[in-house]
Formats: sequence, C-alpha cells, structure tokens
Amino acid sequence: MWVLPLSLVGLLVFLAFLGGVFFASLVSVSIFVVWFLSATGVVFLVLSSSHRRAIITVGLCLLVFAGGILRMTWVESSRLDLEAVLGTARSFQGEIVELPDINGAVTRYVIKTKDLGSEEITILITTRRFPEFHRGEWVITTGKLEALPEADFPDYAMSLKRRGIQAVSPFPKMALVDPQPPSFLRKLDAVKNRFEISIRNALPEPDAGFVLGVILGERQSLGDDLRTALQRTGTTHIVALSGFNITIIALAVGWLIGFLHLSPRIRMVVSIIVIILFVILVGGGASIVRAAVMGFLVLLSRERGRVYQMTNALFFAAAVMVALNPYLLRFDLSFQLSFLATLGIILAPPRLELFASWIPAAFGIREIIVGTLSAEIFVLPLILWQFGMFSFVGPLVNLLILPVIPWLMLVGAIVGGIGLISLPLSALAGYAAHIMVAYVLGSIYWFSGWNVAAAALPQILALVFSLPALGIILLASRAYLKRIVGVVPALS
Amino acid sequence: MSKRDLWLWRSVGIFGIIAIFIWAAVFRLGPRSTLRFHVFDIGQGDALFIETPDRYQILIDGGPDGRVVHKLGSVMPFWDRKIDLVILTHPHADHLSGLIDVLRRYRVGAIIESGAIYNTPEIGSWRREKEKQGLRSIAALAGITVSFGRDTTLKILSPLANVSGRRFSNVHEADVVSELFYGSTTILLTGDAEEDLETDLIRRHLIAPVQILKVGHHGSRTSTSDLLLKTVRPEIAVISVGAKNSYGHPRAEILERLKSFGIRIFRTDESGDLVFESDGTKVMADAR
Repeated sequence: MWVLPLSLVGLLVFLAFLGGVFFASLVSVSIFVVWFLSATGVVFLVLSSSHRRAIITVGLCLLVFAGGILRMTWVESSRLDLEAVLGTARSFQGEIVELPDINGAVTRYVIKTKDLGSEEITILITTRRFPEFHRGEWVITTGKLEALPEADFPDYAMSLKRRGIQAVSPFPKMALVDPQPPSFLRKLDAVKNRFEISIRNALPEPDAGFVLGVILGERQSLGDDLRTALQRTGTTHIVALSGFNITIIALAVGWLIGFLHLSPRIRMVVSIIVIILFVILVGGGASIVRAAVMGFLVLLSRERGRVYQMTNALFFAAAVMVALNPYLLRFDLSFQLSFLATLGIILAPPRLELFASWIPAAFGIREIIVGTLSAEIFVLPLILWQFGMFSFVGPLVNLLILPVIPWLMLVGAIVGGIGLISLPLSALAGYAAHIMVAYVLGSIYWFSGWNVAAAALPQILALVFSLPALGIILLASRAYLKRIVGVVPALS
Repeated sequence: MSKRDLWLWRSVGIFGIIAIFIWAAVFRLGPRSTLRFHVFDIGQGDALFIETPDRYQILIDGGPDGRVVHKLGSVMPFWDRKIDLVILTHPHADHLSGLIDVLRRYRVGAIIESGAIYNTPEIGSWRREKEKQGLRSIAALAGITVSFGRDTTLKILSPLANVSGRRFSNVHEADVVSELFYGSTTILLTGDAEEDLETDLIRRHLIAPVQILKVGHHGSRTSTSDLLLKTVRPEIAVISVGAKNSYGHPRAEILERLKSFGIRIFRTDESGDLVFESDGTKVMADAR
C-alpha cells in the first residue's frame, strides 16, 4: 500500500496553519467553529489507530487549521484597554525601540513604556526633526495620547497595529533621560551609524543615499524624484531590505571566497556568518531577521538544489513567522513579497534555465538574472494587485541594472569600511561606486522618462499576470507527485 | 576567444569607462568666466548657492530639511566635498535646518551668522554640530567684505551693530543682509529682512541699485517695500517659496508691486530650481 511521504505531511500541516490564520484574518470566526474543527480533527486522529498516515494527516491538518484561527483571533482580541490613558496629557519614560523615521522636517519614533498602566505600551510619536534622538535612547515624553485613527485611515491604522503600536502621540515634548540606562540597541547601532556617516562623508547625494539604500535598505535619503522613478521602472526592490539583497550579499561573499578553493561547507558557514553580521549591522529588527531567514533559505536551496526540501523549509519558516506575528500574513506587504520572491527563486530556476543558456555566465551574471526573473514572476502579480501600477520597462531595466547591484553593494561596503579609517583613501573606491551609481540611476531615470514606462492597470489583471507563477507551481507539484508516487516503495 | 583575450577585452572595457568619466570631469572643470547663482527649490524656505568664476562656493541658508544636500550634489562636482562660506541669515528653521545636514556632509570653510540669541531645538543641534567640527562663526556686521579670487566680493550690509548674544522679539530684525558683486552684476541677498530693516539700510545709503533681488521673506507683506524697489530697481526678482505653503506666500500685492516696476519675476514654486549665470555684465536666467 502506498504511504503519504512525511515531507508532504509537513507541507500540508504548514499550509493548514497558514490557511487558518488567513481565514481568520478575512472573517471573524466564532469559537464554535474552532471547537468543531478541533473535535473533528481529534476524531480523525483517534480513528486512525491503525497507522493510516493519510487519515492522521487529515486530522492533524484540521487541528492545526483550528490552531491558526485561534492564534489570529487571540491576537485580535487581546488588545489592551487603553481608554484610561487616551485623550489625556501624560508624562512617561520609555526607550526608543525602532530606528527613527526621518521624513523632511518631521521624525517618527516608536517608544515602549511601562509608565502607563500595568503592561508595556508601544507608542508612535510624531515630532519635529530637531532635537534628534536615536534608537536605544531613553526619553521623557509629555503629551497627549491618541487612539489609532481606525475610522479615518483604516489601512494606516492596520499598518501600525501590525507593528504592535497601540497609541499615537502628535508633537509631544521630549527630553533625554539623564543618566541614560544601559541599552543593547544603542550599542547595536553604533557600528551602523559610523558606517553611515562614513558613506555620507565619502559620497555626495544622490550617490550616498542610493548606496545606503542598496546596502542597508534605507530609503529616507532617496529624493522624491528617485522614488517615483524607481516605481515607474519596477526597481524599488533594489533599495528594500529583503531576502533578495541578503542573498546577494551572501552570494557575493561566496563568490569572493570561492577564489580560496574552500569546501562548499566552509563557504556556507562563512556566508551564514556574514548574514548574521549583516543583520547586526542593519539593526536586527524583526523584519530583517525574517529577510535573513529567507535569504538563508535561498542560499541553501542553491547549494543543495533540493527543490522539495526547500519548499518545505520555506513554508515552515513562514508558519513560524506567522505564528509569532499573525498580522504578517495578510497585512505585511514586505513579508508577502519576501515569501513569494523566495518561493520563486526555489521553484522557477529549473524551468527558466532552459531559456537562459544564451546569457553569459561570466561574473555570475546568468545566475543573477535567472534568480531575479524567478522572483519577479512571483512578485509581479502582488505588486500589481497592491499598487495598481505595472511597469512595462521593468523587466528590461532590471535586466540592465541587476548585474551591477552586487558589485555596487561590495564597492559601497568598501567605501564605508575604508572611510572609517581614512576619508581621502575612500575616494578611490568612491569613484568606482560613482560610476556604477551613475550607470544605474542613469538607466532608471532614462527609462522612467518614457511615457509608456508604466501604466495603471485594473487590479483584476493581476490574476492574468499570476498565470506564469501558477503554471510553475503546477509543473513543480506535478513533478513532485510523479516522483513520490514512483519512488516511494509501497509498504505492507 | 582565449582566456587571455577575454581579460584583455575586459580591461579595455573597464579602462574605457574610466577614461570617459575622467574626460567628462576635465570638461566640467574647464575654464569659465561666469558666476552662477542657484536658487534651490527646497519647499518653503531659502537655500541659495553661488559659485564664483574661480569656483569658490557660497551657500546662503539651507532650507527646512535635508533636500539641500541633494541639490548641492546635483550642482557640485562629484569629488568636491568643500563649501568655502556658509551664511545663515537668521535662525528660523526654514533657513537653518538644512544647514545642519550640510555641516554633516561637507567641509565648511567659514560661517557668518548674526549670533542673536534664539532658543530652538534647531539652534541647539546647529551649535553642537559646529562644536563637533571645531567651526566658529564670524559675527555678521555691516562692512565685512569677503573677496573670492578675481573680481568677486561679498559685502555684509546688516546687522548694523554686532548683535551677537542679544535677544530680539522678532529675530528678523537681526537678519544678515548681504550683497554680491561680480563686475557690474550685483545680487541683493535679503534673507527675511522686513520693511524696517530695509528702510534703515536705505537711509544709511547702504543699498544701491542691483541686477538681481532675492525677494525678502518669501514674498511676504512684511518685506519688499515700495521704497526698497525704488532704491534698488532690480531687473530680476527671485522668490524662494514652497508650492501651496500655508502662509499664502508670495502675497498678491507684493507680486503686483514687483510687476508695476517692470521687474521679471522668477519663483521656485512655479519653475523649480533656478539658475542665473552672469559674465560680469549680462545675466542669463536658467542657464542650466
């Protein structure tokens, strides 16, 4: 008799959990349904005493699906009752826990405080840019607390909720606590700050902002013109911190130490160490750790080439992340994009490589292009769905600039590194960076100038654009099924 | 293609690209006998940049945020990380904030400011940044003259006394007004000077006719009196102002007044970044 392979069981269970969370985030599910599903699941498990794996799996999936619903519902209902502190002027002490978001003359801080009630509360503060505070600093804040603007700006309120923010405070008075308590975050940022200053001293704008965007995913110092141009050419992802650019860093490192003729295993270890160092450098936020996990999976899948294992690992990682923060699944675009891009990089290359043999393999150009196209195929429909804009020149521009990006990251890191020691010395590497930035930005601006570069398309077309991705998923599942039916020997 | 050939071609390619950039730089640095006056479109505020024929660089005010750094990056050569003189006309945030970013990104030769007391977070950050860089400001005073190579000078017209450490109910009274001379081209840089200060300067015969007037206080009613226009009779008036700003700048009556004198008006909210180029006699607008 044929037995369901364990790997498929795993995949189904992870899918069931994600499905449960997704279902509960769409509609509010009554606790009765959860009970019913769990009870049915248990019945299946009990009935399957004769070790029929398929039945056990059905039972497990039902239970886990119910668990997903429960997780989402629980997060939704466990929101603190803040009525007592809202609308009143309060004074509280807290630590700045996220990197300040500077936008023109205004800065946003996220502060955690225990001074308001028994539990820790996370507050978003909007204030003037000066005086400046940094992550990890403790501040005394005096001002009015307000509820999230759920009625006026539901999407914005949801995006705040997703980040764990419970209240906002517009333009309060802020002052540093003296003396400052020790802070791990502050130490963490010290290296990053020095690196940033070094880049900003060595390069003028827009080079500095762009290099920081490409390496650290910082978008603050990109001008408005550049942001629009990036959108119109479908290249915003090169300045976003995602699994993609972490993968590129790891690949570049792997490529560099490839000259030393080390074993694949040692290369892997070194790449992982670099990823960890990078996560620390950019501040170790939750989204960066998620990106790093995705990047690590991509690296692994390239090294091992076992598509099915990697798919499982990806879904497992996604299930763990969603279990920790259920809002991610439906409301966090960057999580969704990272997940889809990673899935694309795992599933698509075997199908695409047939068509890519004409691309020169030198400098790893072919790998980069195939990898990017794979990610793009999976990510495009979501981007179109979310933004309603489609970049017609996107594939071409990406093809032109992506081979340069890993080199720009490398040279940018060298500029920043040397700049820490000597500013004049970093000028030479600065020139190399400048040439690459000039080429990349030149291409982006030139193409975004075309009238037909991008157009608003109806959302429904996203379904059409998702066909290639669905096709690849279908092909991959068919190949997988064929394999497990053919290879797994029948037992008993 | 053999491996050696491949490397040869690659080297040729790489050196070719480098050569193109070097030549581009050489051409950009070629001799020039014109002065450039940039009025950056940085929203509501002022950020004026002057490059003299000898390529000395002067920045007057920095605008309300970091945008000025992008503007400087677009007009200064890539390798140039130094600005010779920075003037802060007065410490309001829409003139000062961007200068804090400039200090962080560029080496600054000298700073001229009034030094009048004004307690804001921006001033605190500005002071700390100056201390960090070991920079000390020169207190602005009427009569100070700065020479920039051949033929270009900048003269401080106000404040009329050293106001360093003094407190003003309206800090516009301590505004640093200056005038730039290159041949017969003259630019009056008013900052946010108001009517009282304008009249004061005229009475003391410190102001003579100019070619370009930087309209005071973004075209507010407080500045650009009839008397001022009669005295300076500019050909060109420049208004640095944010599109759809909440102050209603520039005021319709000021625009009317400028028109009634037959002055050509240039506005950053309508035209974006402005550039004026002078060969010492004629001024050409939008040279870029």
